[in-house]
Amino acid sequence: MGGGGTKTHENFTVTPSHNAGPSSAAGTGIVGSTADKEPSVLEPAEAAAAPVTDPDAGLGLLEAAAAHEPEEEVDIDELVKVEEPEGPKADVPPVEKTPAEWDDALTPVPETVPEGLITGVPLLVGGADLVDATATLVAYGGPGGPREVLVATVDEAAEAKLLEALALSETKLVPVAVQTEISGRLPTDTDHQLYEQLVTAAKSVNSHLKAATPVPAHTQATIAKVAADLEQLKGELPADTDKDMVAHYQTVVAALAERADPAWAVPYTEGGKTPQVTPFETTGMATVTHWMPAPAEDTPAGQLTAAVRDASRIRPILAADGTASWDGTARTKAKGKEYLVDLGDGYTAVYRPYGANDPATSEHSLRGALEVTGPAGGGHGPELVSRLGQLNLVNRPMTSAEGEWAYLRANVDAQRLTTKAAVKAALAETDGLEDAVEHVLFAQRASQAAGMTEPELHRFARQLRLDAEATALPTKVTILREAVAKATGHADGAALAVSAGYDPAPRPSGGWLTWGRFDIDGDRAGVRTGFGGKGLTHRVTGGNIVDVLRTGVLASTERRSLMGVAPGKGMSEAADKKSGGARSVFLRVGNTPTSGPTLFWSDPSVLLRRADWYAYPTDHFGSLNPASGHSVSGLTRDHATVAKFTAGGSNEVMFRHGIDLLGAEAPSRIRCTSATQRKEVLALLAGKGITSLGGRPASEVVQ
Amino acid sequence: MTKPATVGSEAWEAVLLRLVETGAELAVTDPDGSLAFRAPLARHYRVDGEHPVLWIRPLAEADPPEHARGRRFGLNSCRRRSLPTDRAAGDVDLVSFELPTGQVAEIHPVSPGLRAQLELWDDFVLTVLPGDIEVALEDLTDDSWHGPWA
Repeated sequence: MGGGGTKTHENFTVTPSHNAGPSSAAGTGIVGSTADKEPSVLEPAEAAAAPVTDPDAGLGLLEAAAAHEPEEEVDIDELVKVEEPEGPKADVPPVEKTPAEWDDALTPVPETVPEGLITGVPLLVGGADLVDATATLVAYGGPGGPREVLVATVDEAAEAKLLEALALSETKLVPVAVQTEISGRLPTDTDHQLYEQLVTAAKSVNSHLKAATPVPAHTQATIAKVAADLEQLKGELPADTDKDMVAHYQTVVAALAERADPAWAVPYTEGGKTPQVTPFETTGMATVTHWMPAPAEDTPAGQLTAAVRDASRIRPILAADGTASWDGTARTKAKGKEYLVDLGDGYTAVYRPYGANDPATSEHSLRGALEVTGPAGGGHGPELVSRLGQLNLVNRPMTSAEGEWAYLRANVDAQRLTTKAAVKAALAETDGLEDAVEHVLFAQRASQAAGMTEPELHRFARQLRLDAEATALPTKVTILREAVAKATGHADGAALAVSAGYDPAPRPSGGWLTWGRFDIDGDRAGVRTGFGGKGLTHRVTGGNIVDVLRTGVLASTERRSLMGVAPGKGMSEAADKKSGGARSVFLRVGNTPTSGPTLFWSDPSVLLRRADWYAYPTDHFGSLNPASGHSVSGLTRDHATVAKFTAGGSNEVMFRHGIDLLGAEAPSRIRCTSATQRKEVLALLAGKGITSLGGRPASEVVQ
Repeated sequence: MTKPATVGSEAWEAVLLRLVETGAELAVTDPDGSLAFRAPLARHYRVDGEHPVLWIRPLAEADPPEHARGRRFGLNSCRRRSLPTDRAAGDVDLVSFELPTGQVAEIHPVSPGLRAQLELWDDFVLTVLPGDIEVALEDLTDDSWHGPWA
C-alpha cells in the first residue's frame, strides 16, 4: 500500500503487482470520448444559408420578405439598388488584395508580423468560412529570414467549396520512393534483451527506494548479471555503434548498482530515483515506398494541384528567450490525413479535411485546420490573407459591420438568447434576407453569365453570394440588434447600442481575439459580488511557472503546439485532443490559494466578460456517439450558476485558446512555490518591462 | 450493466485499492448504455478530504516508440479527472459512481486490450520520469503541465 495517513485528504499510490518486463506493443486501448464537441461559440454568420437551388424558392422568399411586416420593414429593392458592375463578363479572377477595400478592416492585416512572436498576430476574416472568423499570422524565425504562416480552422460548412478548388486524383496512385529517417535498437541489444533486463531492475530499484525498503536479492543479481554481460560484449563487439550501446547501458547499470547499495541515502525526489532508462537506438536514412495521388499534369484548368499525405503539424522550436523559430520543413506527425496544396509563387497550403478524418480515429482539434505558408522572408501578411481566395474562401479582413454581427451572434450564444422567440424570429428573417438579396442581384447580373465556362460560373455564383451577404449585412445587424435589445430588457436596438457594456470591438488576448459579453461587461460589480469572495484558479504543475509567464499566456494544447512549447508530443491521442478540449484551457472556482504554483483571479468578471467560456459543475465525460445527446449535459454559460459552484471542487470553466497572463486578463495573484521562485518571477516581469499586473504592482500580485 | 450492491463508503475504497493495485480501467456509460469514455487508470488516486470527490488519472494512448524517444506519454494528455463519491458503491471487482449527468462510471479490472497501455505507463513512470515529477503526479492537484514532460 502506498503512502496514505491521516491528512485532510488521502492519497493512494500502489506499485504494480505484476512483474512483467516492458511491453513491446504500443497501447491499443480506446481512449475516451471523441465527439465531446465544444459548444459552438463565436459563430458570426450562423445564418449563412445554403446556396439556393430552386429559383421559385428564392422568389418566394422575396415575396415573403416583402409581405412580412417587421417593426422595421426591409425594402429589398432599396437594399440592392446597386449599379451593375462593368467589365468583361466571362472570366472572374480570384479576388486579389485591394488595400483600399481593406480600409474598413476591423483588425488591420499587418504587412509584417513580429518575427519569433510565439503567439502570432490574430485577425478577423470576413464571411463565415473560418471558425470564429479568426486567423493568426505567425512569423517564425528561421534561416533565410522569417517564415510567415497563416493558421486558421475552416468551418465545416465551408469545406465543400474549399475542396472544389483542389484537383485530387483519388483513384490513380503512383509509387514514390521517399527517404525517411528510421530509428531502432541494435540486434545485439534485442538478442540479449539488455534493455528489458535493465527496465525490470530499474522498476524494482525505484519501487523499493520510494518505499524505503531494501532492494531484494534477485534484483541485485539481475544488475550484476547485466553488468557482466556488458563487460563481455565490450570485449567482443567490434563495431563502434555496438560499443556506444554498451557504454550507454553501462551508465545505467552504474546508476542502478549505486542505488541498490543499502548505504544509498539521496532522497527520492532529489536525485535519489534512478535517472531515465531509455533504449539505445541508432538512426539512419532508408528508402521506403509511399503511394501518392497522380502528379500535376492531370490537374484540370482552374484547380490547384494537391497531394494527400499523413497529417502533421508545424514543429517550431522555442528558444530560451521565448521566441519561436521554424526551418520551413520540420513537422511532427499526427493521426489523420491532410492535403498539401501548391498555391504557386512559393505559397503552399496544408488542409486537414473533416471528411477525410474520422473523428473516432483522428485528432478532433486538427479537423478543418488550415495553414497557408509564404516563401521565406517577411512582408507577406496581406498576401497570405489574399491567398485564401485561391481556396474559395473569403479573403479579406472583417469589416466593422461584420464585426458587430459577430459580436451579436457571440452574445446570442453566450447568453442563450436563441430561446427567446424574438431572437429566433430575427435569425430566421436574416437568413431569408441574404437569399432574397442574392436573387435580386442574380436578376441584375444574369446577362454577365452568358458564355461562361463551368469554373467561371462557379466563381460568378460565389461572388454573387458574397456580395449578397455584404449587401444584406447592415440590415441584418439592425434586425438582430433590435431583437436582442428587446430580449435583454432594453427599449430598442439604439438603446442597447449605447448601453454600458455594449462594445462590438474584439479584444486581443494573447495571440487570439475575444468578444465581450455585454450582460457581464455592463455589471462587473454585480458579477463579482455574486461570487462572494470566490475566484477562479489554475494550478500549474510539472514546470516552472516562470516558463509559463515567459510566454505570457496560459495556452491550450493546440496553441502550445503552434507556439512550440509542447516538445515532442506530436501523436499522443488523448481524449481531450480527440474531443476538441485541446483548444481550451480550464480554470476552477476556488478560494485564494495557499500554495503554488497557482494562478488566481479574485474577480471572475475579468475573464467571464469573454463570450467564449462555458462551464461544468463537475467533471464531464463526453459521449463517443455525437448523436447520443449527452455530450454537453450539465454545460452552463450562466455566471450566476458558476458563482454557485463549490470552491475547490471538480468544476471546470473552459476558455477557448487560452488566457493572456500579462495584459488585461492578468491574474490578481500568482502564488509561487518558494521565495526563490518569487524572485525569479519578479525578475522575469522586470525584464519584460512589466511593473504592474491588472493595475496593481507586480510585487503585490506575485506572492 | 450490473447494478452492484450498495455497501459502506469504506468498503468501496477497499475495492478500489485492490483494483488499482492489480490494474484498473474506467468506463463511463450513458443512460442508454452506450459507451462514453474508457481508459486505463494510473496507479494512484486521491479521496478528497473536503469534497465528495475521487481524483483519478485516466491514461492516454502511448506514442509510438519511434516518435517518442522514451517519452511515451505527455502528462497534459493524462490529466487528473474526478468522480463524485456521494453515490459510490462497491462490489467484488467493481466500484461504480452515479454521475450528475445521469451517466454511470465504473472502475473494474483492466481489460486485456488496455493492459499493455497500462504497463507502458508503469514503465514510463518508473524508469523515465524524474522522481519529483512522479510524486507530483501522485498528488493529483494538476490543472495543466508545463516543461519537458507536458
